[in-house]
Amino acid sequence: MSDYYKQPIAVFGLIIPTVVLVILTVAVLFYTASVKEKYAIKKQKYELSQKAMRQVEMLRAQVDKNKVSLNAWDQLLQAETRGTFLEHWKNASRGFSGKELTKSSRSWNNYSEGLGKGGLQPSSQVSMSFVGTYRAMQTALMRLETMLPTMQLDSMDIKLDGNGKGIDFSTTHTVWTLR
Amino acid sequence: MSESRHPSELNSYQQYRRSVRLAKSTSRMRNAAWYHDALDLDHQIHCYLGDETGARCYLHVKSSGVFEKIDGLNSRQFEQREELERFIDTTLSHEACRGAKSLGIIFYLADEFSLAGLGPEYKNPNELGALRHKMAHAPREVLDDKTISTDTHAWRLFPYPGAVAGSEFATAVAVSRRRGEVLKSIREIADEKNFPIRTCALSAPLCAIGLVPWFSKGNEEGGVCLFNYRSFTLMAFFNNRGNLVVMRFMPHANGAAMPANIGPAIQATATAFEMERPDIIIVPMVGNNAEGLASMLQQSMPAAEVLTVNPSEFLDAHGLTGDTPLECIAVIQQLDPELCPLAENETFAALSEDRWHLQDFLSADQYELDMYPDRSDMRILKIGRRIRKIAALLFVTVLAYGGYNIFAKVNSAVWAHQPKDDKAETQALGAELDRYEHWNNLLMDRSKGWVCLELVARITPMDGSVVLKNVKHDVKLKREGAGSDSGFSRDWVITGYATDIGIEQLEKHCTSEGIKKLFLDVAQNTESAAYLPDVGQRDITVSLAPRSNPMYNKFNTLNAGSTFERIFTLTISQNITAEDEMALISLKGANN
Repeated sequence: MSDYYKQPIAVFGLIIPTVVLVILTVAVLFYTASVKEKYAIKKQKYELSQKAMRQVEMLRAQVDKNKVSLNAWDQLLQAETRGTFLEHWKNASRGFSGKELTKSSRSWNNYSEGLGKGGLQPSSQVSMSFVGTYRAMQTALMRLETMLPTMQLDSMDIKLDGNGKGIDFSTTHTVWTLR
Repeated sequence: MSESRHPSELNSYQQYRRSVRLAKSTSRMRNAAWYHDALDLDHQIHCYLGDETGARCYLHVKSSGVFEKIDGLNSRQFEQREELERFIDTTLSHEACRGAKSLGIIFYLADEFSLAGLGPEYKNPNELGALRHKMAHAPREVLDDKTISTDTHAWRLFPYPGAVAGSEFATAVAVSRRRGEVLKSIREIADEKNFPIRTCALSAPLCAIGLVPWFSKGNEEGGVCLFNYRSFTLMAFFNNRGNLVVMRFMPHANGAAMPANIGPAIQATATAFEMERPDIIIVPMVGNNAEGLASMLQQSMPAAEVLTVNPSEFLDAHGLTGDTPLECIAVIQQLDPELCPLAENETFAALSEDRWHLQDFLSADQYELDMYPDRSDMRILKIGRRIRKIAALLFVTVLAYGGYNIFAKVNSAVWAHQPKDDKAETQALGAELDRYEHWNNLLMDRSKGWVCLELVARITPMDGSVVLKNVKHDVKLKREGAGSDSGFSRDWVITGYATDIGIEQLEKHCTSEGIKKLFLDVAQNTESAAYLPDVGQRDITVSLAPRSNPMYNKFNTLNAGSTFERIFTLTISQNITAEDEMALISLKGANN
């Protein structure tokens, strides 16, 4: 029996290779685990990003959907002035005779005391008086308020005209403006 | 690296490399026979060295029971390695050796023998194990005679298991080392051939001791066995239980077939052991004529019974041919305790268990042993290989698994993804949506003049039973705080003239269901959601205050104020809370 080989065989043939392979295995496992950890973080970010992207897409779609209305409103708001209001009124009262509908007065306030006080949006207030028939007034108001959706009725007084010529209408509208 | 260098001259890594090379280039790892005793191998050659001329050789195959004589080796062949190699090749080509994976070569050294006493300090039979080892490796420490040569002779311990306490319990047996070189050559041939050939050198007289139970059943008076060899006679004395108590060795002087004065020698020893009439059994081991010796002993010890073993009959009884050495029986056959009662006594039980009579006198020395890794080394190497394979497999598996995982992950869209800062775009889109919400809310049909007129018109019956005098409509904002949403209320105060029928018709609207129905009709016909009565927390209150018309004059029908019997005040109030969809919302920054 020889005692020379046992230790070298155990060391070089068993311990060192096994330890090296175990170290390599552990290193691979550690590296894999670190990549997995990085991947998990990236995945979390990726999913958040995807979610954000979907949200952005959804927002874009909504913005696109709203664009037509918003553009129309922008055009309206940019185009409308107190001067154009008269044109709208003329258009609204077109087809009615003076007997059926006559505008008697119109005045503007630079601020609104009505619904315009409720929002952050600037507004002005227009007060108008008319004499005419009920249906003519309703039709004219429908035309005017449809052409100018910026108008919100604050108050209305209706009474019989003292002269018996028709009905007196007094209206006050808040008109939303850009500035 | 030279294979001839002793491992002590190599560093650890070189020693390991040698082990690996031997494991790969030889069959030492695969064939365990390299590490078995020659007597344990299946194929064996028994070489009987009875004198100087050479050896008689016998082939023995344990598995098939073959035992037959083959060509022997003369003294010249012993000294020529080529002849030894040829002898081995010839033997292995024998029909009975077909498929042999190993070979044991057993020398029976019958041409010389000597005994020596142990030192006086060794009197404890319990030290047999340690003494056996010490006798084999450092005999001079154990022997009484410190002048003996360990270079020329190999020494082994042989016990007397039946010896009485206080007397000699073991003796030292020596044989010459001159056959050691032959056996070494045989082992070298084995290394060259990469074929395990194990050697063993037995002392033929010690093997002969193992034969005693086969021809003796013991005697109450004790017994003496005389093993007669060519140049010496061994005397073995057994007590009344058949246990060996002492051995004496007597050389033959001047080529005689028996030692001189053997009778007095036996008598003196027998007397010393208080044997008055011991059985004397003469065993002629090498074919010497024992008749003369028997008659001489009978004359010397008339009271003793002298017996002679007939070798031919003995061999024949064991199924062996006439010229087979008797010692072979002790080596290749097992004692049957039923037929041989002495087999179970202390002496022969110890021989059987510890193989004292089968000790290898010329085993490889430590230097030779050191040149090769032993069986346990090869086992560790083998285990190491398996563990390395398992570890490598584990590593490869983990590497493949890890590699696949890493590859899949690194090449995924997730890994390549670069985070994009879409905060600005999100904010811009959000702002745009807020702007839309802002304007959509502002431009809602929450309060329109033409719808208000529609409501008033629907309150008034078409049959002329009611004439309106005055209608006042007010919208009042209800702000709950700066920056918060605002609800509002709408009030209608309607005064007029009516007949009783007209009042009745107005009263239809003055119930909860009536006023809600009126608002619902207006909402459905004008598509103005602000008039829907049951949305959110909206509530509508109505009250009608009719009274008699003080101006009534049934004869004056020209004036409405005097035509109708009743006057009335109708008050309607609709309340829309800040939580209502029609409420004015406050979105900061949305008005740009």
